Amino acid sequence: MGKAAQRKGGDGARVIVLPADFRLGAVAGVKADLVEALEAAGAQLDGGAVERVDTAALQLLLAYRREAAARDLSPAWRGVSEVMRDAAGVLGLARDLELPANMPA
Amino acid sequence: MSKAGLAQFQQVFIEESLEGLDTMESSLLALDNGGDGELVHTIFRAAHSIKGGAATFGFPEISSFTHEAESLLDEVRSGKRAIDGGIIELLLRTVDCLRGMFARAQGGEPLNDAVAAGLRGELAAAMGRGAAAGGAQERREVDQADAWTVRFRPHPGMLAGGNDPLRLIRELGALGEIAVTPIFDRLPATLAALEPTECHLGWTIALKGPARRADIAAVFDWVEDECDLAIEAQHVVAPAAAAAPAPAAVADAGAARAQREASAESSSVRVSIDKIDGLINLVGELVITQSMLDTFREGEIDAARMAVLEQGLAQLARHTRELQESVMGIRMLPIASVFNRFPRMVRDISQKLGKQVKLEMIGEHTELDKTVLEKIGDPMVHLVRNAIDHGLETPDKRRAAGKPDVGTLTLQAAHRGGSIVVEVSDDGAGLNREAIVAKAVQRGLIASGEGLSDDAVAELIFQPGFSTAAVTTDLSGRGVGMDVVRRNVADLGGSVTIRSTPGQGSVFTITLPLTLAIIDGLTAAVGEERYIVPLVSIVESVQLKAEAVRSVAGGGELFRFRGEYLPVIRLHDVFGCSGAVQAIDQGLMVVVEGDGTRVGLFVDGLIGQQQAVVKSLEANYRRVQGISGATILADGSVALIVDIVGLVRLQGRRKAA
Repeated sequence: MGKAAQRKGGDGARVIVLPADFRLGAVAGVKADLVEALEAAGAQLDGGAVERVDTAALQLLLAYRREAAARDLSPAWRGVSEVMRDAAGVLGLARDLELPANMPA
Repeated sequence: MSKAGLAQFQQVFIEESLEGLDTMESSLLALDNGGDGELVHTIFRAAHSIKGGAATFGFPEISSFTHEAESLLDEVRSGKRAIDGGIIELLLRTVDCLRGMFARAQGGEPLNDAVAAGLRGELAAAMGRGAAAGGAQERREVDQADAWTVRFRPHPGMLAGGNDPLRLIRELGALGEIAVTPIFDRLPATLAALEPTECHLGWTIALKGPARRADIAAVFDWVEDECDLAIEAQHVVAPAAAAAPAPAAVADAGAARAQREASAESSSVRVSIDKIDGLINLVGELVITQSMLDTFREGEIDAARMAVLEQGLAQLARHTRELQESVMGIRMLPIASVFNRFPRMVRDISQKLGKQVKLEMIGEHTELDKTVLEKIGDPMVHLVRNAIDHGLETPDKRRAAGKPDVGTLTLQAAHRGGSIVVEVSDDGAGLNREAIVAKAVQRGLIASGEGLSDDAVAELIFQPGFSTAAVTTDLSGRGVGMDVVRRNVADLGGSVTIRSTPGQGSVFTITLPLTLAIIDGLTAAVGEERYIVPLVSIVESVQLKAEAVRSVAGGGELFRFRGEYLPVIRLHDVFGCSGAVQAIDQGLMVVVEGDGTRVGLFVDGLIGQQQAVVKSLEANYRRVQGISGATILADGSVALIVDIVGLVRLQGRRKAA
């Protein structure tokens, strides 16, 4: 599971679907997508299907979010799974990732 | 993980830890003798693995105890503290204490005891003392508080090592309420610059709830080398009472050792990959041979094919033999594991007795069967103690005798024929013939020493209850010495002999079979039954005339053999075999020796010599007196293996009754 799936959302925006097993082995692939997305003026992140996540994955999202914020791109979450939300909470990253307060996973 | 699963790993962990402790001990001793600084790293690593493993496998007491020792070692390792005799002594006692804790862990007993508590205090005190001496005036670390701040900064490579801060912080959360603040200062400014598999984050974690420092440290045990970690107490609940530096009830090192010996018999064996590869190769060869022989299922076998068949069978025989040897080899371990306990023991005993002893060990790599190895330890301990206590003299006595102050004790192991020979030799005073003879006369063992050869006199010390030490010490000389040594060695199918030269020292030689799993024996027929008589016990077999055997009062029978009268044991009588030869001149008398005594075994006849793979009778049936095991003969029938020592004792009891 190297690369995150990409698709166009209903509104035509770019959507990056984060893999179910979003851990160390998957981060390089997702990073490539995120770098691309930054160049294309951002994308929506869909973490609704993420079942496993680790520090490396959240760190990657954090780096993406920080650069996106520096480029004045607003956060756009399409979905956040409970697993992701919980992990971000443990690592104290929920606020910096600008996870939406309540969103159906 | 299931409880059973964890227990299985615990056993492996305990065995590995005991090996680690052996390493620590031998390195500490080497350090004491002026070894190099690399040894400190070796000791530290051993302590570190024990600590980490103990935390993982559910022994928090061992983990936190080892942590104290590790902290001290860390200061030595980093050069903050110079190592001296006091620290080595303290760490050696820590090793003993840990052995005790592991022994209790195996027995399912509570791990901590007064010794552990006392040593803990001493270790902490040693740290504190050093800090004061160094002028650093470090604040004494608080052990217990109800609020902590943990600063946790993983090194970049930690994630790739499989350790996830997410899991660690979650574990920390189990200790109390946590508030986590991430630190981003090392996070690259752009996403492109981020190496996504490295850790660029750090955390400050505020933990609320009564927790011990050791519990917090235990969470980070496995990643200690992969992160910067600071644990600070925010709110202290009580002064650490356990840190009283009084060395409360420091038990005799002997007690710890006794515990260790009790736990020395382990149930698994670690095998080198080379040996396993060798086995796999052999099995491969065997399969090839088998498929070659398989071709003979079909078709006529003419002369040419017959030759190939014979060749194949010869190959099969060779491979089977090699396979047998290789499999036996798996149980073979170097005797070093036994030898390694002696440097410490020699050091302790010689200090206690005010003697100077140099220990030399030769042939530590000699391999012998694991079972033999585990049982040879006690007899050797006895011999070594005796050698220092009775054999080697004090420095002034040695000087007076024109010998160097330092006595030499040599342990030597070697293969000789099909046996292992272990020698314990010293350059001390040798056996005191007069004292032994006087004692033996007093005990009524002999009438006088006249006409006795030196060897015969030396033999006397193997008699039960024989001890010449005027004052019994706690080291040796309880009068249960050498006879026990001989009996233990005899139980292993071996023998002990002694060679002594007055003024020059003594050599005790233990000869042991390579393995207990296979014996060479003679197959004897008794009625319908077949018995295996171990070859090592057999002196000779003779056919006697009927009148050569005399009945004596009390029902026993004796016969004259090379100038002495030996008792007769009729195997058919002992084991109740029917249809056996009764008349002496129709059967065969096999003269065997066991426990230092010779007896004649009366059997119908001898069938031939064979190697017997010993199967435990106890495990498959029950213990039978006079039988040491069973084996399966070529025709598939079962033959029992005669336990000569047991038979001799049985005979002795019958005589006494």
